[in-house]
Amino acid sequence: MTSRPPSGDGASIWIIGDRLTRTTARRWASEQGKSRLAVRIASAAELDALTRAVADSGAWLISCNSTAILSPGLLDIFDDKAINIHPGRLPDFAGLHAVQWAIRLGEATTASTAHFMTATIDAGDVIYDVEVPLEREDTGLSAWVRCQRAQMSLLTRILADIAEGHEMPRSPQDLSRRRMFRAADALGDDFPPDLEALATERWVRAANYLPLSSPTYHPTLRLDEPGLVLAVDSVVPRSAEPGSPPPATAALMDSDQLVVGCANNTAVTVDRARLIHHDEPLSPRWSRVVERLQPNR
Amino acid sequence: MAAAPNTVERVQLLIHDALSIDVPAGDTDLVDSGLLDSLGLVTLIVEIEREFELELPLDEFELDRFRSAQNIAEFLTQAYPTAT
Repeated sequence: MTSRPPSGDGASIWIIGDRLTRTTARRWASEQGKSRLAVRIASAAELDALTRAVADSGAWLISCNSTAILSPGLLDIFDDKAINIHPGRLPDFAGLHAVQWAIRLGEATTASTAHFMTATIDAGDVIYDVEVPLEREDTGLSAWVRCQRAQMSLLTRILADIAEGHEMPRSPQDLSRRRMFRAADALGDDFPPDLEALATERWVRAANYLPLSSPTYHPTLRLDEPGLVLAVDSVVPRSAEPGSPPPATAALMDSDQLVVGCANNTAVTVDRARLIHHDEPLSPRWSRVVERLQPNR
Repeated sequence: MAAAPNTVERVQLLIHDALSIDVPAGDTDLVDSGLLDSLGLVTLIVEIEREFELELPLDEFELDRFRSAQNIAEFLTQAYPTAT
């Protein structure tokens, strides 16, 4: 199946998305010179208000990294000419925070995916996808940048297809494999007690956006003794050994390693963490440990 | 290695075009002045890669490299001398 864009004069391409999306679209438009297609930037709210204006123009809508949910009426207006560029592989990483979930679930690759928009989020026919490899050391931030690179390449490809009147491929998704992630699925800063060591390492790494802040949860350790709170940026799975703390609790071992217990008698060692709060002056031993864990040591 | 003046100007222009930020001087601190937020940083990374036709390493983000147009230009000059 294919979808052929209109090739008449005066058609517009409406863009909604983040700053990188808007910048990329503007630059593409300026590089086209006397393109017959006008690239217009709008917020989702503005687009709703402009529904009547775009109804007769054969306009296209491209959404990329926008969290606005478009009204069904608006999608009807664009009539199979509304495209979303999603930072995840479809159908198995639909919804929010797909990049983080790919890390959390131990995927070796994810994708950025351009698809036609329907009333069901991230469920429309796929136009193009670009595979994004995930490396063992990828953090939430580095994987996000990889997906953004792929999304921008898809954006310029889609813009060119529309401008040149190329037919776009469309492949229906196998929705029996669909996984949908919601904001509520990525809440909670405390270490999940049900995760084993490997999954705990991925849970921490997916939330590492240093030097920026995670858009979702922030892995946090609260130690009643000596009364301190740490923001954890990196952990390393370790061999199970007697005396490891219970799941989701931390203990300072004889070797001065800060260890967090995980499910099924597994554990991780805290490798990097930032001191958020402490009640009393720290002992020399704890001061050494906290100093050693700082990210820029 | 100091960055060539035209590389600093090129970065200043890129920041202006990509982020709509007028950088008054090459050494203006984009972070402390609040001009550069987290989304802006990611935009800047992808735009630098496009402008200079390179791929920045993602294993270690050092915010200081992106603190000013001067810092960005110096980092690029040292790490990618043929690109600048």
